[in-house]
Amino acid sequence: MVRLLDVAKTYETTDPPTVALHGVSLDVQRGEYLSIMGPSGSGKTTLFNMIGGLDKPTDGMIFIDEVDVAALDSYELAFLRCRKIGYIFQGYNLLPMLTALENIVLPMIFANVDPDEAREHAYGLLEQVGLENRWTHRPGRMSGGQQQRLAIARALANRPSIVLADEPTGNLDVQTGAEIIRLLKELSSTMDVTVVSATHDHKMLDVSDRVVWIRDGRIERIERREDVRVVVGSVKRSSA
Amino acid sequence: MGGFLEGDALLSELQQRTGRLPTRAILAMVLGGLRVRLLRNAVTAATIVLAIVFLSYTGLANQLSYNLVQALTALEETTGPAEMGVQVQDQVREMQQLLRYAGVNVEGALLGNPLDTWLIVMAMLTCTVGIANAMLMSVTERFREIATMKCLGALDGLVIKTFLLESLILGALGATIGIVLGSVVALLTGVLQFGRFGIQYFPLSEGIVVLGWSLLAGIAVSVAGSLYPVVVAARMKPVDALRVDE
Repeated sequence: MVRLLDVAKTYETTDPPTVALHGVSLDVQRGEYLSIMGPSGSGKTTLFNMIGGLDKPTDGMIFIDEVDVAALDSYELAFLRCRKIGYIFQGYNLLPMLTALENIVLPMIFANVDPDEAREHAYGLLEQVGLENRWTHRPGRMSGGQQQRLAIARALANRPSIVLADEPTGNLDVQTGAEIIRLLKELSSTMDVTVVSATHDHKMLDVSDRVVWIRDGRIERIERREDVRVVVGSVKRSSA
Repeated sequence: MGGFLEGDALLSELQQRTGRLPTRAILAMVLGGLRVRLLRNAVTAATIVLAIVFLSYTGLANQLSYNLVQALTALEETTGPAEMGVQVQDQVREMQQLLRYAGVNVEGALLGNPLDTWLIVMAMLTCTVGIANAMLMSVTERFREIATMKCLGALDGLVIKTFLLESLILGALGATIGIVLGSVVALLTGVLQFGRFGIQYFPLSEGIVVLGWSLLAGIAVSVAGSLYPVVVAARMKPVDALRVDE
């Protein structure tokens, strides 16, 4: 699904240049729920952006659906982002001037889907996230949890292969956050979508198939869910 | 799965259409955006309104003085002072007096006033800079919105179109309000200064030309002021959507 080969990233804009990633290799499977964890400044965000086609590597190769991201021009990248990747943000990032339904329809119109078909599909997605009664509401009149559910529906609009979630529970209270995680997990397994999320939220580990720990631009360790035992307030490895 | 960028005809066709919107949809989005940010847009439009009030008022008032002076000259020339009836003599005297009170330079009115031109140019420039400032703030404030659109697949061209259309609508709206207010003010001051002559010689056909140019000037100022902010918006990167600051 997503394959990273020896990916390195150096930011030349700083003096001295900052090396954010030193040769990271990673394979993400189709339908997998992958969490990236790491302290700030660890290269977590950089890795996340690379996987999501938002940034190009200085060295190494990234394949999304067998396509080398580094070789794409801006039109092709827009095409990739539009059809292959769904984005979920910490701040929801819904468009305030559009209604709930229109927010979901927009990426489908970008993907050249017939407007009537797009509306029908969007309504179906709203039902799946439990917002069908609010399809005419604008995001400004919704709670954080509702906005994030709408954002999940929007991310799934073009039936992407990957959903990229950046701290999806960062702005939510514990209970709403748990609901969002459950919904995301449920939809990703029914739709067979890969979910990659960058997070600090330990609730996320519970549903992840694998957790990638990043430190100083390198993968420190990759754990499978079976190996992670979640204890209230902290995470311990079962081997420890 | 895989290999979706193989470049056969259908796919390249799809690719060309990706990230675009029909103009009607862009228009609906722009209007929605203007409504959502009503207060800020009203302030921006007010800049244009004020400049266009000034422009259209000056144009109309100058045209009125021009008409009056011309009418006066015509009266003086066609009928020599000797054959002038008492009524006409009174009218000429009254018009001369009113023009003097209004501070109109009788010789200058026919030539146009260079000071007015200078003031209008300065007002338009100030307005352009004001619009640029307001639009730049609006664009930087909406970085997340713009970057999100790009994450959803919008092309730079769509962002450019959206913002240009927005400034076009703001400009047209501001200028329309401006020429209406400018005309009202010009008519009122005309009546106050010249009484019945203010209405009798109020420029109608020439006035429409003045108002037409004022409308165009308002739109031009708004679009010109938006050019740089639009470039800033188009250059924003999709990854900016992840920024959490601000």
